[in-house]
Amino acid sequence: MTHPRPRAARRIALPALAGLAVLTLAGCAGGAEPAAAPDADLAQEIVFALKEDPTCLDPQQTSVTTSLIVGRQIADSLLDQDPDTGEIVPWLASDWEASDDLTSYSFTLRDGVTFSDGTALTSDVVAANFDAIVGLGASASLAGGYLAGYTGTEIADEKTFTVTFSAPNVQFQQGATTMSLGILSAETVAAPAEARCQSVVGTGPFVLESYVPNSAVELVGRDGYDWASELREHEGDAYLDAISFPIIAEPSVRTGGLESGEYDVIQDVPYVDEARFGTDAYRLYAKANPGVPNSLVLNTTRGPLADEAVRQAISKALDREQINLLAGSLSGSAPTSVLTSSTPGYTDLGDVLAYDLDAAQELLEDAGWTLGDDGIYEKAGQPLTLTVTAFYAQDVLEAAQIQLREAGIDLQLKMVSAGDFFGAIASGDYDAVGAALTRTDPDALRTLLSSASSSRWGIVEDAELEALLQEQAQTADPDARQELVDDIQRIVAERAYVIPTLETVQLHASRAGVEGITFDSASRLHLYDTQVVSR
Amino acid sequence: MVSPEQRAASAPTGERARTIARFLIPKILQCLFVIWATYTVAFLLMHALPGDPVLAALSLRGGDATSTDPAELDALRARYGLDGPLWQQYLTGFFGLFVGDFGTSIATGEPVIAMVGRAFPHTAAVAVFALVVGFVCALAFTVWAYIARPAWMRDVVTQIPPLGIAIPAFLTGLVLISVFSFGLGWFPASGTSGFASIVLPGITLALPTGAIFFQVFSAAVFDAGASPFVLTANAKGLAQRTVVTRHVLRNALLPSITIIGLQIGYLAGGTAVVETVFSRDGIGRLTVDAVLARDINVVMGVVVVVASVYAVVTLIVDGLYGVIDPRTRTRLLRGKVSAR
Amino acid sequence: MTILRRPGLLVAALVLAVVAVAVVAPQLIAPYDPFASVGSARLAPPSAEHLFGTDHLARDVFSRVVHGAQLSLSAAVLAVIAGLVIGSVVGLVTGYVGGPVDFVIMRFVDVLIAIPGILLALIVVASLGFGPLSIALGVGLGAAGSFARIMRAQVLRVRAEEYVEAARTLGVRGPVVLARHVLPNAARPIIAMAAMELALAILSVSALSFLGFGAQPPAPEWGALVSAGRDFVATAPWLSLLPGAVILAVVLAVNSVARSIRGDR
Repeated sequence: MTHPRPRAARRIALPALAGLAVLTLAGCAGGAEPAAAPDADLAQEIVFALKEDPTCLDPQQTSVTTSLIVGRQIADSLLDQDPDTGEIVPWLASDWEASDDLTSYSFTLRDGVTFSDGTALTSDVVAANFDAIVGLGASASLAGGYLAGYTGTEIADEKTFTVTFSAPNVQFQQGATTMSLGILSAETVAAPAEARCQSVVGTGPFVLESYVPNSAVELVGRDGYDWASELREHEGDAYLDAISFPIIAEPSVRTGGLESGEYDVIQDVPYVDEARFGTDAYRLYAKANPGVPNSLVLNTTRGPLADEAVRQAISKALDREQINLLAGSLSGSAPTSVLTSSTPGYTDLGDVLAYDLDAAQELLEDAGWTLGDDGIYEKAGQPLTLTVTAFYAQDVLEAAQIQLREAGIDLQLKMVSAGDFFGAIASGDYDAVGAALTRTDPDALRTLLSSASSSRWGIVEDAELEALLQEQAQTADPDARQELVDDIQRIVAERAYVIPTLETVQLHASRAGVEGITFDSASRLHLYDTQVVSR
Repeated sequence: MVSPEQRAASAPTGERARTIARFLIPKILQCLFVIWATYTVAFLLMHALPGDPVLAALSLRGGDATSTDPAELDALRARYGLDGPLWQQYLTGFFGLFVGDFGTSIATGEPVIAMVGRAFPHTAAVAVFALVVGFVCALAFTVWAYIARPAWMRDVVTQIPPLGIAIPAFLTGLVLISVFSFGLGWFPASGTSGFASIVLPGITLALPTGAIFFQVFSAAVFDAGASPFVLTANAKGLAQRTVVTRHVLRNALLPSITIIGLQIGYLAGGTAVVETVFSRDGIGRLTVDAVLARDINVVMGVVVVVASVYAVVTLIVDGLYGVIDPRTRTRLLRGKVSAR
Repeated sequence: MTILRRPGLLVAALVLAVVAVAVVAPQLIAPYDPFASVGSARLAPPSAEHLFGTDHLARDVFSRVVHGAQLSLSAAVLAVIAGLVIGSVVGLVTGYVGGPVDFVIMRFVDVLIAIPGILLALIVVASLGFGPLSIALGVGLGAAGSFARIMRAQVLRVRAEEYVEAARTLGVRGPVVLARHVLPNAARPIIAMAAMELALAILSVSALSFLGFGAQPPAPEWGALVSAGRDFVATAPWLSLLPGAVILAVVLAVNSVARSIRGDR
């Protein structure tokens, strides 16, 4: 039985490999070899402090990292992806095949898989999952995005089915490895959206025991689990018997708790504390989020931003290395493209995004701007000012603000709640938004910038770019697609529609006695191989 | 000549019950009016807020994948009952209160009464601790100031409690965490599990609470201490301690009860700052998160619960006035007598 | 001068004088630009060069605190003025008119006190957008209830005085009576209350910006400074503790002056 293994997928992934080499040194390699079963004397239970309330545990509805950390242990996906090479391997599906025009994908399910409520994994259940995702609409927007153009699932028999789309869907295969298309039991899928958030049943190595909002989530190990993907380190049941996830919102309390031993693992170590946990008594887990880095995404219909010279000047006036030093992780690097270095398809555009204060000021002056008395450029009586709307990463924007002020550009900050952020996007009332878009596929740029995209953040009118964005979404041949993606990145960076500021690194820490925590290709954590090796 | 007090004491039970009723019923009506008015004002305020609750709820789960497609958002709005005319939402919400249906939170999907029910005990635990510790400390300081002999000593002692109001709660909390959690490891810096988690936030809140008690308490005690009946008692040769306990403290009770009532009302509103610093689930944090998320139903639920607590406590305080202060009782009866 | 005999009051006056300079002309006291990095010394502890140390973006914290005085205090002062004006007008009118109008209005005042102050402030700030005006209104509304009650009590007291009855018998109109008799008598307790409320307002405003409902970054409001320093309590506690101590000092000073106005010992 063969399964198609696109050789070119490795080619796309080579830059990802180069980028990840630096990162894997930081943490994962330390705990990657727990080949032996854990010591029977040590209780195999850990306390993992989360940074916020997951709010909703249903992996199909949520794309918030905190929730997915829990959800990844409960639900498995049809396919898995090697985070280093980008290669797609079987998981719940033992075999699959995509049609040449990418409008249909056939899968064969693995034998013997059951949900934690005892029901078997069959084609009917998978079909119900996908139908329900489409039915959830806006409540499952990320999952729905992977199923764009979904027309239905044809069931051949209990183990074989075909998913069909009305138009070529290039991201579905990669999407099938993510949590958003994680497979849930028939009963979970049939329940209303709110109920699904509180109680989820999957095929995963852990089972949800309790979820008290704002307090803690408790998971217990699943007996009889036997269908881990080949990328995991062992087979059979998970090593851990139980995982407790208390919700600790204060970063200093989390780090203090890790030091005192109250917590075994903590989510989101503040970058400033990274050095504290770089010693032998701890392990750090660092992974750059794939997708579009933290950036200023511009609305080119607003004021001075319509002028390409102004946009390019803003980009050149940013010293990304310094921003990374001030507000980023030791394990991360400054962005060198409009995709992060860990995204398949990334191309190094360091020359375009290099810091050049003189060139920035020259661009502005050539375009008719003159330096005012307050140190800010002005033209025709109007100062060069823009407002960036954001709902997180305030310190990154403050650092950018300081740098731009030195260059004579006035960046105003507008920190709002998440709801108001998307309200601004819905209304189009903003100069720029500051955020990252975490996706595992370069199609993220289309989601971000295409005028056909329903939730685009960057408002641009560029026919050439639009054509390229649409074309890459329909190109099956990986080499051809890579060329298109290279062109897209170059255009977006040169015309400064997206001005990257920081590559966000997920940074977690554990005490040294806990080993086996690994990231998947979407930067979510697998706790399946985790074990306690010492107290 | 039978005095009104004596007549009050010998009034038959039926009359006494009617008197109590005459006293209580208007108070209860007042209570209900306050609750209704609070609900209405909060409803108007929340609906005047800009921002879309549905979008806020979606963004909590959707992160950067939140959809802004208008058609889909409208569908969700219909689902949560946010598409009807305002007066309809108002009436449905208000009558729902009487059956205990506070609606569903748009952000989390949980019934509001469950969320409030979960948060309230945490807030109440810290509030009770703060009230008890604050009261005891205020009492101790007052007694100390009263019996302190040198005048400078009394000055110093009376200057200490007001510090409790001046120090910002977040500062106290952070200092306590640094010293007693991270430093000494005696108490947890967060969470709601066990009695130990109540201590540090409780102490943080006890400072302003105790300080306010002290102001009222000590003023009342010193005023009573200088009053004629204490002078008489002293002249009669009663021991200092007896004077203090029997006369001074009991007369200081009335204004103190009023203050306790106000404090309970304030603490029931939850103190968002303390709950944020100590990562505790409670009414204050629930409120802040709900306002940020434009979660109308949760805010309404919190407002009604807090207003109810406040109104009930005020009622009890007024009732206690009648019990403790015989003059109030007499005034009521005199009213009845003169009407005859 | 009696003020010299009371060292506490003297210290308070000095503190307020320094703060006043910081509000009016911060550049006289602050050695650095509060919005610019002073080099690469991030999270430096307090030293001769940087009295309060530097923050995570290498900005001088002392300069930020000095420049923040204007933001924090102007919002607090505005809040007290708003509360005083709104509360006094309501109290004046309702006390004078009396009857059922008085009853209904006072119940709404009860409501104002029953809604948790922070909730009221949060809602007002969230609807009007962040900024000193909306913070002032939000915090001020909470204080307005107390002012209303005091003013009304004063009106009721003065109304019962004989000279007021005499004035009205003589045909002096209502508003004139209010202005000429009620207001001057009410002035002293109202002003004393205002001073107390100022201290509370400073605390409320800093609590609001601590919770994130203040001016936009990089505005160095005191509460926002404490909040930003929260992440560094274990490694750089001075970032939170020193601005917090400044808030404490100012509030104590205002309290001290307020108590002396009220005529306490």
